Formats: sequence, structure tokens, C-alpha cells
Amino acid sequence: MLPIRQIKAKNARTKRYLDNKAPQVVENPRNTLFLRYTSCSEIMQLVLNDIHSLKRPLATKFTKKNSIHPFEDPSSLEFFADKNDASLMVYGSHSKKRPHCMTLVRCFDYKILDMLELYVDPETMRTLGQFKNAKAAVGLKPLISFSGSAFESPSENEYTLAKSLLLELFKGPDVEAIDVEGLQYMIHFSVDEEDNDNVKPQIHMRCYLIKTVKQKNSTLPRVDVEEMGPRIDFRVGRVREADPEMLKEAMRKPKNTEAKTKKNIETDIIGDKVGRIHVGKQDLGQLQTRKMKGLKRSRDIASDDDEEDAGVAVGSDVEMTDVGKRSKVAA
Amino acid sequence: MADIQSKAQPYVFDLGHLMCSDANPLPSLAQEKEAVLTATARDCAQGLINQLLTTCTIARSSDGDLQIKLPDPSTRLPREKPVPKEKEKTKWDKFAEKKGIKAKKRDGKLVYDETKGDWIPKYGYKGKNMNDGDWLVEVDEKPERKKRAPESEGGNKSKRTKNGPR
Repeated sequence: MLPIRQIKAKNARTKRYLDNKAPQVVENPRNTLFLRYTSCSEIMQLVLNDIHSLKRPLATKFTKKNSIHPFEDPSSLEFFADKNDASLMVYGSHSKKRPHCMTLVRCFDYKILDMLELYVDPETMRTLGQFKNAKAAVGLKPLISFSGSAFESPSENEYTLAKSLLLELFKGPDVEAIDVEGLQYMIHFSVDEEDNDNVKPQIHMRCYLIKTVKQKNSTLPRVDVEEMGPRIDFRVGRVREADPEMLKEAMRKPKNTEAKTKKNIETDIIGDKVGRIHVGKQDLGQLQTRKMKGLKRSRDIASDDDEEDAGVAVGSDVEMTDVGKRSKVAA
Repeated sequence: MADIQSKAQPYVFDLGHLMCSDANPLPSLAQEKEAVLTATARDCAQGLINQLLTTCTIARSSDGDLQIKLPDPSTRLPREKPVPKEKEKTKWDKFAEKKGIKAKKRDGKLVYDETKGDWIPKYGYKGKNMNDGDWLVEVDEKPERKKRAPESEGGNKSKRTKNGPR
């Protein structure tokens, strides 16, 4: 595929668009593209629709059929990624060999970084609409939870990749603060325990509305959940892991993003700023003590006459104090 | 919350992503699959919300909504695009840095007028330097004297007379 030629902005609007699309230190939230293969089962289309409605507004859905095989030739997907500035893709397909197949694709710099195939179980699939209850508002950041030991595997495998991809897909934009009212729903992923080596454990995706009830003896509320759909069970299929070189580049941290810690300034538990100041060493030689005739400086020097030249006593003020100090040290 | 504390492995939270990882093995789903899943999900939700309410600072925003301040996400995810390259410094940039030259700041055309209690233009129509209304103004002597002496032409005069007539 030919590289897309470098576009130079001819007007302000194009410039804004290109600046927004260009690499940034703090990145924009990822856009997700929803695509389908030439054959895509009804179940798969429902799944795509539901995930799209959870992902709105950071999502674009294509309706045309594409004959793309992501694991064989992903160049068309890379082209779509560049054209739509979308770095996540959900690709639905259905074939005899890979029934009800959803491919999650993550891009880096408009190139495929990693991919994962998930086969939807058509028996247990329930759509968003099949649960007759209220739904969470559009565009809210969901709570996400992962249950099961396979997700926490110390070595990289399809389940850790699934965790990373699913988190990326559903986490929504990164925010600094969230409204208490905005904690409306949770997406829960759980993975079965491995029973035998032949069958890979299923991943269960469940979405729940969150209801909080005040507790009498506690400041914390009691949380209840109510399923809102979609309900999907996945089996894990093919995996394309990230190229280590590319992943290294993708995991690079931009410089100067972390605020420098200022020395001696702390924030305590209450949120007050506390600073520590270092005062220089106090010169006790200059300390004004009680005035007495016997402690007069002139007398001080007179007593030291045999060591010091008498002429110094009538010198400048600075010299006098200097001498006085010295004599005190000697005493 | 006895049911949460009884878990073998504690939950791991990433509050920046509002994420909770529960590494405990899932109970068998052979019977009452949905009920088991709902129970584990409820425990996760309870743990996550407790964690949010106990460890994050909650503040009231300007429109009166309660906002939970989230920490930075701890799970590192790959970037979408490469880290932007730093622009190469031009010759002038290097020189200016060496000399400590900084771009001049433009502080706008308006200045604050304390007597009027309002922002007015520095010059021009209704400007700050037009003291309208003052019918008596003290003469600034130096420029005035210069104006009155048409002969003076600055430092060049002595040289001109030395050069002789044109």
C-alpha cells in the first residue's frame, strides 16, 4: 500500500484537524471503529451494535461489508485507522471455521499493534434490549472489574492480552475527577478456571447497573447490582501479540509529563500545604546580652593588650567587634 | 463487608481507570451460573466503590455536584501514536537561549484606570494618555525648550558648521 501523502493545511479548519490528529504528549481518547466481514451472523451484528452503544460517543460504525482477513492481510484496517483516526477496531465476522467471531484490533501509529479473536457463544448471548430496565446514560465512564486468576497470569498469554484490550476498549476517556452521579454501571469480566487442557476457559462479560443503599451503621453505602446487558460469553481464538520493538515504542513515556517533586513541600492528610524552611545558623557572637560595665568591649580589648596591638582598639567598628569575638573565643 | 474480607487474595484497584482486579479463582459455574457471576460482580463493585469513597478526596464542584478526584492510572497501556518529536532548535533559538533573550510579552491595549474603575485604552480615543477634562496642564519643560529652538539639530550641528557652507 502506498503511504498517504503528507497533507499541508490550506486553511485553519484543516490545520486544526491535522494538529488534533498529530501525535500529542497527552493523547486524545481512542476512537473505536466497528466493521463487519462480508458474512457476519445476526448474533455478531447484535453484539457489534450493543458494544457500539456502550462505546458511544467515541465510536464509529461502518455498515458496508468488507472482505478483510485481519490475521492474513491487515493493510485495509491500517488504512481505515489512518483515515478515521481510530486506533481501536472491533471486527465482526462469521464463518464455518470461526463462528460468530469478534476480532479486537489495537493500533499504534496506524499500524496493527496486537489483535485478539473472541468467539461469541450464540446460546448464552443476550442483547442490551432483552433486559427490560433502565440503561446507563450515554458516554459515562464505567467501572471495570476483572475476576479470575487467568487474567492475573504472570506470563503474557491470551488472557492478559484480553484484559489489556478489553480495558482499553471500555475504559472511556481518562479523567481527573468523576461525578458521584456518574458511577452508574459496571462492566464485569470473569474467566473460568482451567479444568482440562483441551478447552480454553471462557470469558464472561456482564454489565450491571449500580444501585447504592445507605447503611445504618456505616458511612459507606451498600452496593447492589442489576444486570442491564449485554451478556456475552467469549471463547478465545487466535492471537497476534505485539511486536516487541513496536510495543517498546508504544510504551514510551513522554518527557516532562510528571510534575517535579518540590523539596520540603508536603501536603498533609487534611490537604494543607506544609513547608519546611531552613534558617541559617545563628551567630551567637553578635547576641546582645545584658549590658554591664565589666562586659564593655573597650575593657575587653584592654585586658587583651599584651596579645593585641593597642592601635586596633581605636580602629573601625568592624575591627573592634572582630577582636571582641576573638577574645571571647579565647576565654 | 465480611464477604469481601474473607477473600483469599485482596482486590487490586486502579482507580484512575476505575478498575478492580480480583485474582481469586472464580467459583464453579456448573449450577446457577448467573447468580455466581452476579455475586462476584457485586463484591467487586462494593470493593471498588468503598475504595473510591475512602481513599479519594471528594469535593463539591462549582455547579454543586460531588466530584471524586481520581489518581493517575497505574496500569500502563500502550500509546495510540508515538511520542511527539521535539522540534529542532533554530540557530536563532540557540543564540537567544545563550544570550537569555526572551520573547517580548504583549500586555494588551487596555490599562486599568483606578479613578474610573474600568479598563480603558492606553492611547487613542478615550485613551489613558489623553487627559481630557483637565483645562490646565503643566508644561513639560525639556521637550518644550527643544521645540522653541529651531536652530538646534542635535549632535550634527558642530560638524556641519565645520564643514563650511554648502
